[in-house]
Order: sequence, then C-alpha cells, then structure tokens
Amino acid sequence: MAELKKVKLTSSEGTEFIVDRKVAEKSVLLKNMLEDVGESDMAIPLPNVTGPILNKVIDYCTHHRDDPFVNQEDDSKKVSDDIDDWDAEFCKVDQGTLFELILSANYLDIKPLLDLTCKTVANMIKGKTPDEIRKTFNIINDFTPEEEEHVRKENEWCEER
Amino acid sequence: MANLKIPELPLDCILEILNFLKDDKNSLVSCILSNRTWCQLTIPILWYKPFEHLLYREEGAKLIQTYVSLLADSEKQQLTNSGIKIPITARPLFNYAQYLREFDIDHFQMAVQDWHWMLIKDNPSAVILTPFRTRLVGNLIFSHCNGIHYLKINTANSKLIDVTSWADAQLALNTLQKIEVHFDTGLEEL
Repeated sequence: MAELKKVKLTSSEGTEFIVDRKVAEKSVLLKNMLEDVGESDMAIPLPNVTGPILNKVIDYCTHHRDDPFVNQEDDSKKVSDDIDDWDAEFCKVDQGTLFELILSANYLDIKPLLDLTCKTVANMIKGKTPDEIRKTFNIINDFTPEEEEHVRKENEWCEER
Repeated sequence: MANLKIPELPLDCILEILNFLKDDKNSLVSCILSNRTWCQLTIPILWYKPFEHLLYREEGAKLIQTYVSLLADSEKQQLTNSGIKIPITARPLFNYAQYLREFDIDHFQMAVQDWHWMLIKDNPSAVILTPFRTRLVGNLIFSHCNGIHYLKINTANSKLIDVTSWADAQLALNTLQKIEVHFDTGLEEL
C-alpha cells in the first residue's frame, strides 16, 4: 500500500502541507528525493516555494494525479492553444502568481505545469508590441538606437505592415 | 509600481515561453525588438524555419536580402559575376543562416525570384534570374547553415531543383531527419 503513503512538505514560511505520495511524485525533484530517502516522516523543506504557491501547485498535482507521465520533447507538439478548461481556470491568477508558478514548476521539475504556465505567458505575449512586452516582463530596452535599427532592418521581412 | 512584485524569470524559462511562439512570426519579431537578451533568445527560433513564415512577395525578397548580406566579399563577387548586383549592406548582427533547420525548396525558390524582382525594380539593368543564379544563392545558404533537419519539396511548383548538387550539400543534408514531398499534379486547385 505504498501508494497511499503521505508526504510532508514545508513552504518557505514553514507552513506544513501533507499530501499523498502519488501527488508529490508529480514533481520529479520530490520523486527522486523520496526514492533516495525511502520511508521517512521528516518534512521536506521547500525554501523556494511560498505557502500560497505551494497550495496552487498541490491543487494542480492533485487534479492531474492520474495523468500518464509524458516525456514530451517533440517540438512539433509545442502549441499554445490546447489548454483545457480546468487548466485555463487554474491559470486565471495575477501575473506575479503566474510567474511564481513558473519558477516553482521549474524548481520542482513538474514539466506539465511548466508547459501550462509557459503557454499561458506565451499567449499573453501574442499581439503585443515590443514596448508592451518590456512592460509585462519588467525589462528595459538596452539596444542602442543603431543596433535596434540594424536588428529591425535584418528582420524586416517578417514585420507585418 | 506593481511590476516590482513580478519575479524575474530565468533565461531557460523565458526560452520555454518563446518556444511556444515558434509559429507566430509577428510575436517573435516583437520579442526580438524588446531587448538584447530577448533578441538573442528569439533569433534562433525565428530563423529556424524562415521560409515557412513568408506571406507576401516583399517578405521573401527581404529575407533573401538578409541572407545575402551574410556573404563574404568573395561570395558576393560570385553573384556579381553572374550579373546580380548586390546592394551594399552592413555586416549582419547574427549569422542567421546557421539557425536554418526546416527548408522548403518551393518557398525558397519563390523568395529568390521575389528578391531578384526587387533588385530589378531598383536597378533596371540587372539581368533576368536563371536557375543557375538561384543555385548560387542556394549554395551560399547551404554552406553557411549548420545542417537541415526537415526538407520540403513540392513537385508542381518548383522546377525540381537538385539541392544535393549545391555546395556543401553533404554537410547540410547529413542531419536530415524528415523529407516531405508533395506530388502535386497542379490539377487540384484547393
């Protein structure tokens, strides 16, 4: 009955979360850790993940607990318009939370959650001007005017007019 | 100041995001123009299959123009010798041809024709493009690329160009994983 085992996780603030081992194992990081450690009642500290974000991550992993593990490295399948209703609802969060989810999915190594959140951000980029992208991602334009003109000219073939 | 709360994403996450935009050239070009880092991350994605993105004749012409600007002076001389007058352009910021992985021969051929039209328009004394000159541009792209993964051929439109006879074809096609051939009779107009 190893599958019904519970796992304890602690968020960055020290809040404890108890989840089914199967849910925790959606994270490749945790799966490997649990395999290495074996049976243990010790809580696993996740200093990079805050409580509210860990809560969301657990929601996701619980909903998708029975999904088969897919090792999807096929680039041709990388499309951003195949998000189902539950997942779309899950991603209706403020941008800060969405970015925190990306960081956590990356850290915990939960590929389907990373793909979902990255797809959602990709959809946010669609139709935006360079300036709007800079605002969204809090980045500054560090091109010199000459460089910017040069880049624009060389990639002019794909600029819509 | 809401943006201060937004965490900075590491480059590998930004790259994950950009990869989902690989079929959306308008978004890709906006990303390219955002800043230097985003430009460096996005250029390889956009130039992975540039011939797939072409919608208008003018775009093909400008695409070839950027490729031609990569050429060394000796290579430009080859084109000049064959009667194609190359406009003088600055040294490109990226070696764009090295990112080419998906190559549609038909789209390539049309792009070269459109490019030639553009040159003729600016310079009426330029000569008509012959398959020989298409081949020269093809040679130049192949010898600058790092290996094609995916080759698309349409037998109806292209006057069957033998890409295997292009310069460095061995190297360029050694990495091939997929070939798509359309045996189009030209009778079905969809």
